[in-house]
Amino acid sequence: MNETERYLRRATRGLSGQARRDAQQELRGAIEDKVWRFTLLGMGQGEATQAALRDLGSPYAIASGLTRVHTLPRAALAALLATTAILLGVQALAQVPTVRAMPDPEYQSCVYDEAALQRASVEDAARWRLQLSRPGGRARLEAACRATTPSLGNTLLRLSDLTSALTRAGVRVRTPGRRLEGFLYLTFPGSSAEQTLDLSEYMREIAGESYVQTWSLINHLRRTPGVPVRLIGQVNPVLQLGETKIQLGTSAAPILATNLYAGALSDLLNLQPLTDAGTPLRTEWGFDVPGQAGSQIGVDAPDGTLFVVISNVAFTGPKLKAGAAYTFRIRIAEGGRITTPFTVKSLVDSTSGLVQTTARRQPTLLVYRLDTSDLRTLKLVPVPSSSLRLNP
Amino acid sequence: MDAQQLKGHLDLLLLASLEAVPRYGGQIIADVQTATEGYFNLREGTLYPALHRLEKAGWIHGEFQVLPRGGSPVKVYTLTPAGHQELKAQRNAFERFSGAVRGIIGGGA
Repeated sequence: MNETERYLRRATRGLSGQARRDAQQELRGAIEDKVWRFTLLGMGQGEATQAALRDLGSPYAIASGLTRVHTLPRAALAALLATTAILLGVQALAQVPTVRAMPDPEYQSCVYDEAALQRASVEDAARWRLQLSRPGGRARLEAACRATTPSLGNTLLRLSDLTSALTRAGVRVRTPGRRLEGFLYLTFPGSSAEQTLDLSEYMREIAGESYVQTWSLINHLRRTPGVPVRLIGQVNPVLQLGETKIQLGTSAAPILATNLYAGALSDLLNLQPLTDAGTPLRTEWGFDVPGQAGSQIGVDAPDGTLFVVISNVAFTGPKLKAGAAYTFRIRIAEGGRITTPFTVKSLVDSTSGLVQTTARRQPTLLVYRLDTSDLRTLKLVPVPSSSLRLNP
Repeated sequence: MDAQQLKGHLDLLLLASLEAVPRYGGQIIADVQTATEGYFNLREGTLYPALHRLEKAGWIHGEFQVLPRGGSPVKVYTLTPAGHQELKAQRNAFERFSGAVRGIIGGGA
């Protein structure tokens, strides 16, 4: 692979499918354009390419910006972690093979090691270095960061664990070798058809081990024909593929099912947006900022039922931000209620209600129940507002 | 360039640079730099995510085009009707803002 292609891959890490191909094509055009300009200045091809890539700056800075726009939500997970921790139902899983997880070092926030400083902008890196050089500076910097940007959790799965867990669960796994790492050819028990699972786009090499992204796994499985996909449990859920069961995450590096559902829902809403009178509504996965407490909603549902809360908060502030979108959170019912980080005076039960209330710039929430019986057909089930109670 | 100052006005700058004619990334960087006499020096790491965000918002539309010199296509962005409206709104808001600031700090026009 030449230098330009290597740069393109790095600069689009975190994107997938068409978005990734488009971004690579766009950046390839941009690089060639620079190279062409530099050759006009008399540089040789190799020298011009080097200069163009240097001029483009860190590919990780581009990747981080693009990923934020295309896949990653805005804020954070810590409050979600806090609310789900109380629901932690540890399951008896001794017989279920386990896949270990870890945080993605490229997205892990609030760590100010040399790699993070290298990825940051020159201004940020200089500011951080100054703070780190002061006594107690690191602790203060990390605390300030954690207060506003909680981590995304453990979003990477060890590929070798995944392969062996599937094998131990009875799936025949064929791997095409190092050159096509991240491709798994799976034959499920009782089936003769071989399914291709392409996890190569989110591959990360960390300390000699290959990792794939949780959302990438779930969303590719959702598109694999023939095999129902379910998650059982809230923390370190068991991924059930037909009759096959593997556990994702460990107590040392846990995975939240809500996080996986949110990634799947993000994917679904990108492909099939909610609409109002035929007009698609832009929705994004919104993350909680720690310490935010808002309205509670009474629901007629047993504990553990999943709900999706859609907020219009991005449209009701004093200043409308560019690219504003409705944001969704996934919530788990507990004691007949769900918590939200938003303070609202009303609830709506349809997208038209949401759009109308937004036009009056009044904060409101649209609530759906999330049907997770098969992730391939993940469904938002409308909840009549008569069965919801604001601040019960 | 002050990164904070650029942040608040980036969308307005990008929309305005596409107002008259469609452009691709490299041209936008060059244009913004020339028009502001080097005051704003956009970097690719800022530009492309911002362009993609504006495209997602429906304010601009990107299309791959091959340049007369050949080679790989570049992505050329055009302002959509919604983008024209947004530009107008952001321009008005900016004018009100800068007028208000001038009212306090004095000087200028």
